[in-house]
Amino acid sequence: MTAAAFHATAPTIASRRSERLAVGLLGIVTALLILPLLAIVGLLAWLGAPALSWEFLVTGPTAGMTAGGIFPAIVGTMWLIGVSLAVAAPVGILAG
Amino acid sequence: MGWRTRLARLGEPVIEAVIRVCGFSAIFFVFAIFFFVFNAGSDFILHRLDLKQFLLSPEWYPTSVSHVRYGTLALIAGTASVTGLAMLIAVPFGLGTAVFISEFTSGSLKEGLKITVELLAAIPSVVWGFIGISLMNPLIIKLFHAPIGLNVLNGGIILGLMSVPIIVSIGEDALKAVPDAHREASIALGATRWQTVYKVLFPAARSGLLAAVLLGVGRAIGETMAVLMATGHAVQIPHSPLDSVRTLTATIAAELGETAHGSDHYQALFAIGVLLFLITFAVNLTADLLVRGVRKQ
Repeated sequence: MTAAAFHATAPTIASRRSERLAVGLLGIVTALLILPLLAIVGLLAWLGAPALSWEFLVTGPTAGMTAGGIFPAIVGTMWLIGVSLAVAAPVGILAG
Repeated sequence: MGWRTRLARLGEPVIEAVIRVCGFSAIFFVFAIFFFVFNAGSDFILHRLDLKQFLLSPEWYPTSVSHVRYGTLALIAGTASVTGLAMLIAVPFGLGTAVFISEFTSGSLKEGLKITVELLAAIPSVVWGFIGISLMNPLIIKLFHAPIGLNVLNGGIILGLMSVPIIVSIGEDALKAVPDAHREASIALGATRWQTVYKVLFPAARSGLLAAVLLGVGRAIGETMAVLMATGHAVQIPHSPLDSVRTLTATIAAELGETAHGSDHYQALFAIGVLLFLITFAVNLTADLLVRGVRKQ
């Protein structure tokens, strides 16, 4: 028995074309979502990089909050995360 | 019977009780918050609130000495317009990305895309507001020749980008919940993958996808910081996407710190809080009932 060759009929050609179109469109949609995100994060990093340094992270603000670092803010955020996790994690895990 | 067995026998009901209390605590906290917010504004709500003016009047003048008005229609219109525009952006992008990631990618590309979308979710809302002010503001002024770039368009785009990760992850879960047998049967009958998606998967995952959209709506309605910074903070009913608006959430955030504790203005803000709570509760409840319907299948 010879192997039958597959001849594409019109509906098959049409549905294959619409499949390529749909996958292409969805890929563009996803790319349009991802690219602005990467652009935003990249732009933030690029604009903010000149101010980043080790001193910035470990010293407090000086000269009336116009110079220096952000250490107190980092400590405050860590406290906030710690306390909310301490309350939320046990209750959340046990409730779920 | 050793002491270890006795301890285990005694400890079991104690642990069960603790877990049960934690389970109920979630319900308790929701009711407690609602009760607290309602109570803080109860005197005003029950005795002096003109419900018709509150819900139907666009005039929000709580600080006027001679003619105090508490009409939130403009604020409701602000929330609705920004949320509507955000959903107009977020639903096609979110569902499209969810379908693409779930059905047309695999392996490391799939994982990479999922991680990147989660990264979108991890950006704090104040950073989004910052992006709205510093990046989108001059862009909108330049592109649309608008007098000011802090408007419905700005807030809508920002909120849309914030809601997309929710729609993508819950939409993906909804699509994953459809059994593979459906896909295999469809492909076996000769359908292409895209035909499988819109003829088989969309009807099957319909309520899960709707729940994803509704949860995105809930997120957009409740967002405060980003809209506070990006929408222009003007109490008016918008006539075009380039008009500035103020949302319910931004009103509470901006004005609560400046009211006298217990005054009518203070309590009116808590009344807005009750309104927001009821709207978000209704949206989330609908979404939850829809998802529960999907899981039963």
